[in-house]
Amino acid sequence: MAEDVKVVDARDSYCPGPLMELIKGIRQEPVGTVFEVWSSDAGSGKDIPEWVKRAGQELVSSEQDGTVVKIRVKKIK
Amino acid sequence: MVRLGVVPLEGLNYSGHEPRRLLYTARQHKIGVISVTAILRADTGSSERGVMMANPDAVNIMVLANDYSKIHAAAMLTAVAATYGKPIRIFVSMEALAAFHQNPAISSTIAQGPVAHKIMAVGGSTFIDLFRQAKELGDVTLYACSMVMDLYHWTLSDMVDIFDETLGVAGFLAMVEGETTFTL
Repeated sequence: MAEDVKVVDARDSYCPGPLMELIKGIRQEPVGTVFEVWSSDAGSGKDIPEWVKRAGQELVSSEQDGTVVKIRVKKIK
Repeated sequence: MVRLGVVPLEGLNYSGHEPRRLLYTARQHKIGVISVTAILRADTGSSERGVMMANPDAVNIMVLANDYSKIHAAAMLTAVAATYGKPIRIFVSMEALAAFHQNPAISSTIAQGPVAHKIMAVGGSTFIDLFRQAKELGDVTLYACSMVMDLYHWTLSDMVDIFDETLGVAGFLAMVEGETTFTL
């Protein structure tokens, strides 16, 4: 069964907006939730994985889709 | 003469900066340090370390410049650092404090360079938004410099509602001694 993914569409947001949107989601949703952040801010491709590592969450994937980076993060704690 | 003071403890979170804030409050009321230490020792959730030693995780930022971009940078750093669980203190003084005044005629006197104009043009988060988010996410305390407040006869009710209290530079230095402190 496909895993439910909560999309955080932060394409019009600038640093640190996409990260802050993800953090808001992580605070609101239960453990096990998978988020996919869409960001047109180039820095998010490095900033968000770095935050995920530091915060002890799980980086599922990160891929570039045209001008948008899509980063999947699983809340594990 | 020994003066015994009682500081209400309810609702305080004895982590991060609170022991130091409690100590500062005690000093303001001329309550002996020994009395405060005794209170902290009686509370198992508190950290004597917060009073006696610097917190290696703490981040302190002095925001002084008449520069929108520097204030915005401080707000970005604060917002992200707050999510890591780091206790953060922001001391806003000198020309920077006007940027936090509720009166647009005063707050607009802050110098805005090309980046500041670009942030406004694209409708990005303001530094006020970022500080508010940071306060929601973590242990963030903002202090307005009492000297500048006095010079202009401002009170906290004149300022944007994000400051926790006014504070003098000596009080701030006492709080941050031995901790990482940035100046912008």
